[in-house]
Amino acid sequence: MTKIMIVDDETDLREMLNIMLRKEGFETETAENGDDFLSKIDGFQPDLVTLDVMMPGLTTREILEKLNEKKTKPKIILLTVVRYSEEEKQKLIQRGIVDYVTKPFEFDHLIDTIHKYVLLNPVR
Amino acid sequence: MKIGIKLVIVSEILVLLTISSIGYVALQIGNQSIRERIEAQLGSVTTLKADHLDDFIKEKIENIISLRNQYTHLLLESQYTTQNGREFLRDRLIENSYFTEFFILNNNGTVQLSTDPMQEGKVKSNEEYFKQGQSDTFLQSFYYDLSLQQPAITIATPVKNENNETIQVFAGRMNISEISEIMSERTGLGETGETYLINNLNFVVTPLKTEENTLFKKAVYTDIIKKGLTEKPTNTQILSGYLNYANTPSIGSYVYLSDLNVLLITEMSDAEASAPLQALGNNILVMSLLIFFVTLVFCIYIPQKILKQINNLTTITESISGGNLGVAVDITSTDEVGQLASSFEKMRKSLQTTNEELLRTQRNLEKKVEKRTAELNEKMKKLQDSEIATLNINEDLQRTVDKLKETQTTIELQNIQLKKLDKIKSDFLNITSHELRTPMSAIKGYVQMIMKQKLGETTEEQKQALNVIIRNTNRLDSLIQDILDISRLESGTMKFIAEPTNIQQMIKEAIETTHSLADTKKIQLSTNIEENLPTIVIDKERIKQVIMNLINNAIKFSPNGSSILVRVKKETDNLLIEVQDHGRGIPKEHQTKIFNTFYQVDSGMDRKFGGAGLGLSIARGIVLSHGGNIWVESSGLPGEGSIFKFTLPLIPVHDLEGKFRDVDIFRLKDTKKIIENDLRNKTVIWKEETADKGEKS
Repeated sequence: MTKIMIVDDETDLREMLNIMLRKEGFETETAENGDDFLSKIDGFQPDLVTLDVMMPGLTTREILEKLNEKKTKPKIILLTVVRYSEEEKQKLIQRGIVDYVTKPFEFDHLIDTIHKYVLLNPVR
Repeated sequence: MKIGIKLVIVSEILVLLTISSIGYVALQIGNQSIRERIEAQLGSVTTLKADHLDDFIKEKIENIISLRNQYTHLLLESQYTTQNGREFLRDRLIENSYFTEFFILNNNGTVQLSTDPMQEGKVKSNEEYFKQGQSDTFLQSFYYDLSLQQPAITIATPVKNENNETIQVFAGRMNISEISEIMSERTGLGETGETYLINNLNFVVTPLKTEENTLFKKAVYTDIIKKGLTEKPTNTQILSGYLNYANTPSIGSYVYLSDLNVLLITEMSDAEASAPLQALGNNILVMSLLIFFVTLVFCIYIPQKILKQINNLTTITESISGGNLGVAVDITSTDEVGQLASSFEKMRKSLQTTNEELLRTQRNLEKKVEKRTAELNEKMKKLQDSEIATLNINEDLQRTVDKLKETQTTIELQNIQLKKLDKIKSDFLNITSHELRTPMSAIKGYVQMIMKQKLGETTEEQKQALNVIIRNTNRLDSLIQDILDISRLESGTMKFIAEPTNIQQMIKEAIETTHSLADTKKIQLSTNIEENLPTIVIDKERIKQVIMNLINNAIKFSPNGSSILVRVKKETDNLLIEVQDHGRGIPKEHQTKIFNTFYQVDSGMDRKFGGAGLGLSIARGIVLSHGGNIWVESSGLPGEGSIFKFTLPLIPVHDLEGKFRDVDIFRLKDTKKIIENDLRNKTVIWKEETADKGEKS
């Protein structure tokens, strides 16, 4: 089963995404900030991560840098409130981010974006 | 080496070469012709002498034969006596003085009769002339008569009786002095020329010019005699380059006279023979020397004249190079030297003029330098005086600089604070945006999950309620979006993403999005877009937002079933985009105010359509940021509608963010001033926006 890790400091949003993705058939795990995410990642070994761009503690850049030291290399979708230019998108891709979804997102749009990068039941 | 000497040497070499060639050829030709002439002369003398001798001898033989015939006749007469015979001989001897003796020999060889009584009775039987003369006429030439003790020539002929029997021999002895005379005759011969006869025994038989008493005493063995006696030529021959009997180098001609058995030689000394050649050589030499000296004189004289002029010029040149420009060049000849001199004179004059000018300038400069030096000295003095004062000023300056440094530090600190404030402002907006939207996301997520029955069955009533929640959430979201946009525009932190954009495509997308709203009022949306529009660099999403805002407004304020036209055309520097409706129009007094924030023409009307009055304000901000302008045209009469127009420059305006700082989004200043300002600041610099900005918390 495809594993998705939800990283968000907002409990309600995190839980909402958790329920939403489980209903869609993914195996999920949550983390409430960068440190939490980094401590759990090698244990859970997610295929994909939804990452909130604005959390207390570690910044997005710091999280991505520390992620390089980890064994697990998941695909990352950013949850953001800003738009990115093509140039910025290229920079994000270089750092391991495959896509981004602008808040507030439509239910279908988020699910479609995730499905672009992972299969529901990937063949290992 | 000097030119004169060179010229002399070259000319003389040429002259000598020419003369010696001509001389050589002339001598060769002369030598040949002179030799030929000498040879011809010698040959002809020889031939002449030979003929002369021949004639002489023949005549004598005939004389003897004639005398013999007379004698025979006398002898055969009956009254002949010895006395008669003797008288006859004596008489004949007187008549023929060439002969020295006539005598008659009997068959024993004894002299029977003779004109010389001493000879009678002598026996001549051994003499050749007796032996030969018995049978036929015989000439014995140049023999040394032993009985006479002298050279002689004797002609003998037989005396015959009626029976043709030799009874006696008639002989005549001839003096050779006659022949010697013939030979000595030196006609056609020069100083050294001579002719002589040599007999078979190499004895000289005729007198030689330079030696006396040689007859039959001197045997001579010169080359010519040896050759002549060996060859015995009957034709005249020539031999040259031999030594004659006196050891003198000679040239000679020779012929052998077989009648007389002698060799006839005509010779002359080489010296005389080649005398004309010598003279020719001498003449050539004299002429050569003459030409040589004349040439020498010319070669020395002519260059001398030119060299004198050149030397004159050299002297003047040296004088000029020594600094004396006052010496005039005095050469008046019209040749090349004269031309050189005259051009040199021109140069000298121009140099003189230039030099004088230079001297004048130098003097002026010296004066100026003196003046300036004096002024400088004065100033130096003044400066020294004011040095102390300057020191005081320096201290003041130092203090001012210190103060300035302090001020600079303060300003720098303030600048840093301002930058910090800017960042705080930007961060604040980002955080606000995030904080407002995160709860919206949670709400929307749950509502949509419920709507999709992911969390269990929902009733129709519940669905209606959820739709209300969704609509209001969207409106709230839109409002938050607008407020954030306004805030960003106002604070200058609005982020633009510039990209090359196809306007036609973009308008098509905008119309597609607004189509459903238009359909609800049965409004016809149409476009009139110029073909072949250029691609322009803009923030596509933001401009699309502007167009959608204008279309949405038009839909809102148009009556049902009317039409809206979107028109795009290219102007000189801009694209002009128009949205025309047929609504109630906008009164003149509102036409600028409608772009103000929170401005509504009719509060009641706008409320009805759910607008907060922010859309046009944002549109204006976006358009101005792109370097364009936005305005509305309307008569204000209901039904005539209005046309919202905005421009976008064809050449991209960079640093859209920077541009926004100049936009007074709340229109706190006078509107007219703002528009002028906006037009003036169309071109600004693009500033790169990094991805980090949005990520930083």
